[in-house]
Amino acid sequence: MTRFRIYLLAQMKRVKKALPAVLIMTLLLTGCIALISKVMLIADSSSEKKQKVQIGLVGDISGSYLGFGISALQHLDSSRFAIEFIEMEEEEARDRLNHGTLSAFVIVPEGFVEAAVRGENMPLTYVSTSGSLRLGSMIMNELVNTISSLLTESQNAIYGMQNYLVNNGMSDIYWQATDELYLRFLDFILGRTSVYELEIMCLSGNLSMIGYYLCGFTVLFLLLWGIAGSPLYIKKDHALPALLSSKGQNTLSQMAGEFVAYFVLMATSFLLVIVLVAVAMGLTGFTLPEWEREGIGILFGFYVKMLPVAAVICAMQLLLFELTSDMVSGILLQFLCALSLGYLSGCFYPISFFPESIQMVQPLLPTGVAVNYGGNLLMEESTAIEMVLLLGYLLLFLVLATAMRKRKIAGNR
Amino acid sequence: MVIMNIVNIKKSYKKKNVLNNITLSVEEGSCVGILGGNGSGKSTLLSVLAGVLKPDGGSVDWMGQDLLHNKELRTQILGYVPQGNPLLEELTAWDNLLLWYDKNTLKQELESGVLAMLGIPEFIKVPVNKMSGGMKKRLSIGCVVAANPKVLLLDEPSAALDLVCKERIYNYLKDYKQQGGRILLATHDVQELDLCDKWYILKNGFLTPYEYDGNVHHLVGKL
Amino acid sequence: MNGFRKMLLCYFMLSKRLLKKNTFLLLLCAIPLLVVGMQVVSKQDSGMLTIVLCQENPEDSLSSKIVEDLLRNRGIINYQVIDDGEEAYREVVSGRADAAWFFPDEMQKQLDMYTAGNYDAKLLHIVEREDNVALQLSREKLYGSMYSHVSYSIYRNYITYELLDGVAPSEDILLENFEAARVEGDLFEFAYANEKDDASEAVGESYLTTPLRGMLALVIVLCGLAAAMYYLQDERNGVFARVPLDGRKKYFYAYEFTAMIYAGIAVLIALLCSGIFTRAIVEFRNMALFILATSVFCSIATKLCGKIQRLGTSIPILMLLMFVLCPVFFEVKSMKWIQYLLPPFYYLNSIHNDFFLYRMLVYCVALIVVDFVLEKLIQTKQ
Repeated sequence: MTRFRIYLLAQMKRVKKALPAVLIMTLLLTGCIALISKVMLIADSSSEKKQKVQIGLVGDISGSYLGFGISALQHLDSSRFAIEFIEMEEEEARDRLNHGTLSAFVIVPEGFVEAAVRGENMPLTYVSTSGSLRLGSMIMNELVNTISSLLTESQNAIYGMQNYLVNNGMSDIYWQATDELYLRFLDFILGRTSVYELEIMCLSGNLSMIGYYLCGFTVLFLLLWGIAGSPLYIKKDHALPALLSSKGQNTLSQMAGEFVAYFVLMATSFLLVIVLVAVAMGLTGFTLPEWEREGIGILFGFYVKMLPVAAVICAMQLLLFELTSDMVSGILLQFLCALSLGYLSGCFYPISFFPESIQMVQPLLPTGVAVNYGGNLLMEESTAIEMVLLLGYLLLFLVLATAMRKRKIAGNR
Repeated sequence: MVIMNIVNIKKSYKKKNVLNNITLSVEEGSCVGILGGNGSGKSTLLSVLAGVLKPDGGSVDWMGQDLLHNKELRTQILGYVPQGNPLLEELTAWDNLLLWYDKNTLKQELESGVLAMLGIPEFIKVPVNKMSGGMKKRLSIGCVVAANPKVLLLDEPSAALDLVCKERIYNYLKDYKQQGGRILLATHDVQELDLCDKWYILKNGFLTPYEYDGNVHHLVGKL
Repeated sequence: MNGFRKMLLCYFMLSKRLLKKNTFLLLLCAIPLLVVGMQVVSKQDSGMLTIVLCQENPEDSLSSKIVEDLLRNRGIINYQVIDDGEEAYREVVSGRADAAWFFPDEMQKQLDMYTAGNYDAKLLHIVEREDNVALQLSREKLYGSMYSHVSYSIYRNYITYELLDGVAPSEDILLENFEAARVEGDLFEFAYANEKDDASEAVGESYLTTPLRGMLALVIVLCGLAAAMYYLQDERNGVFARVPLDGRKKYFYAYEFTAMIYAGIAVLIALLCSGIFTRAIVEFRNMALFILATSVFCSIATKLCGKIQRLGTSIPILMLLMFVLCPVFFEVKSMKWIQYLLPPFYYLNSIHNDFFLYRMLVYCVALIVVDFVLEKLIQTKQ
């Protein structure tokens, strides 16, 4: 026990020495994760403040009902997927697209209005710059398809009605009827939310998307943070563990000492992040739907309750350090594990986005358990099963790390 | 006179017999040199004796007790200096020594004891990652001799060190021997051979006695 | 000739060494694994949202048409058809589905009442767990699917009640006039800035495989950074002790190119296998330039960090920045100046837009100049 205490003390001294550099890395990493969060929140924001998607409009459509429709959508529609159509020359549109100030532009071909009057389809060209379609572009495409449907179907009906008037000798009211029907369509499109009755459950037991991402990003942060520990824990040789073994301090006791010190380092870094988040929440008034009636203190409660997750990730990282013997391999291995486990555990996309097979694997992964544990904490649901699994993983990783070290000491002859 | 008797030590890796019934004894105030080429099993032998590796068979007798099966006694009797440096890189020499000494003893040793003899006070406040190879090796020996071991197991202690550093270490080892200490030294350094009183050659897992008379060419032919 | 042979020998020696490193092999293996994994995942049922479609009467003609249309054009939504209303509700309550859309019986009749101006006659009942952008989008999509029926109903109601004072003309006449003016097909045709590139194929891509090219580009950057760390490790171990400081640069680039050429080839094969390979000339040209840009980028990062530990620590930060700011998952319109510093930004945008290819060229030149200046500064310091 005395030997363990002395070894632990030495490890704590190492941690103390490494702390400033680790905290700097923590700050940078927090900055990057905050950036992702910001991007995610903007993407998920349902507020009116959301940045408008700007789409260039090249060509003249003023003579068509399509033009009226676009103008109406732009000026009157309360849809939150606010698309702003800006008329411009093709050269300017290409230039703005290249400089990222335009999401896409639509080219209206010459003769479009005349073709529409004849009932011919002359498609508009929707030009984007994407190397491949991203999630954002796919959402945009869905929107474009909806807009396309709204505009072409309205136009079909108006031209159909005009045909009817001409064929039935009612040409005298042609323009009056056209305007009336057009206004009726506009009325329906703008009031389209009245077509359904919307019931939002707001179940207290449901995890909000922001809450979900808080758990996901916490786990992702802890996973990536492990790279900071690489210089401290990757051993070039195992002379010290061998000597300690010869002096009667077994590998489990060594590993336990290193684990405690590493955990303290991680917990300190994690605390720094929590303090930063608390300050940011205090300044902006931003909070999770789950914490709406709570004070900032709940964040620190969450921190304490998430420490078992930190412990499991610490143990997993110690195992990864034991698996490698040089810095480069160690860092790369940590990074690859962080990315793959993060992806499969739903740290980047919510796990509900994935097919059933992945959804079945996720709760079995240590990081998946960690994300689910965090989610249950936020929803104030029982975490007993996750806690048992976390404990199981903690022990498993420590035992495996110990076994690895034993093997390495034996190989260090 | 207490003799450490190593009897029939066996160790194999993946069907390869690295140590084949190794038997030798180390007497009080003597230094035994184990010679052999790279990969001959010298380090394995020392690791087995130090309790780092489990042997497949054999015993190490110390006053009627088997050191291999008596962990407490083994840690008291043996001091093992592995090939690498068993040091924590980020910490100073002082912090590293505190792993093995209590504060008061450490202060005494630094003033007038073994550590002073090894010249450790010169770099006591230097972090290990800023030390030269010689400083690290001296510090490693300093760490190991903390518990006044009766037998020192040294694995190539002066490899790649400068002359001054080697001299310091040799002086210490001579002194240790004079005070009745026993040294088992795995080496292929000619200078270190002069420290020894008995020599053995470890080849293909077998240990054979060798009479070293300063003729290096002859020794090379035997390895 | 001698120089060329020496270069080849150096390349082969470095290749041999790199391919013996487990972590480098692991990195290379990540490329096919990523492709296979993403393809397998994308072929299974998945969606950004799971929505339950529940018809009060599964035989109802209009609601069946809408449901069929929704199932045919799934897009980023995963639909489940459940006939039992209570079960559909339970799916949402339990969190297995994000929303449920309930279609009434005799929907056509209700639609006609609605388009006749009776807004209180709600056509659909929608139950959602929480309101978010994705669900708002899904409702727009639902309205889009219904709209062809809504527009025809408005057209028929207008002619019947406004033009003919409630005397309904025959359905055939109405249909005939409507169909005569029908514009078939989509209003929009998707295209890229490069007119030669066909965007229609990409429209059917799964959202789970869309980040593939971006992820593969990041693997190449990671290989570049790994090679830089291997170089620093070797330098520390004295491998270049005999090489004067100003002559070491070529060894650094040899490390970089050796690692990245392997990764680049693996990525190109992966693109080919995953079906997002465009034209060979575009892919090879852009990849070559990307490798050049990345290697100089890594050289600058190495000079700025100086030590393996620092370079290693900077990896997650650099990768996360690239992950967010380069168009891998998202297209961020802000923080342009940081985006301009990252090689994948140019590569990913250049595939369908040559403007970014020229920009990547300029970027490479700028990087080379910065690298040269840094080199001189370091040499002066030493």
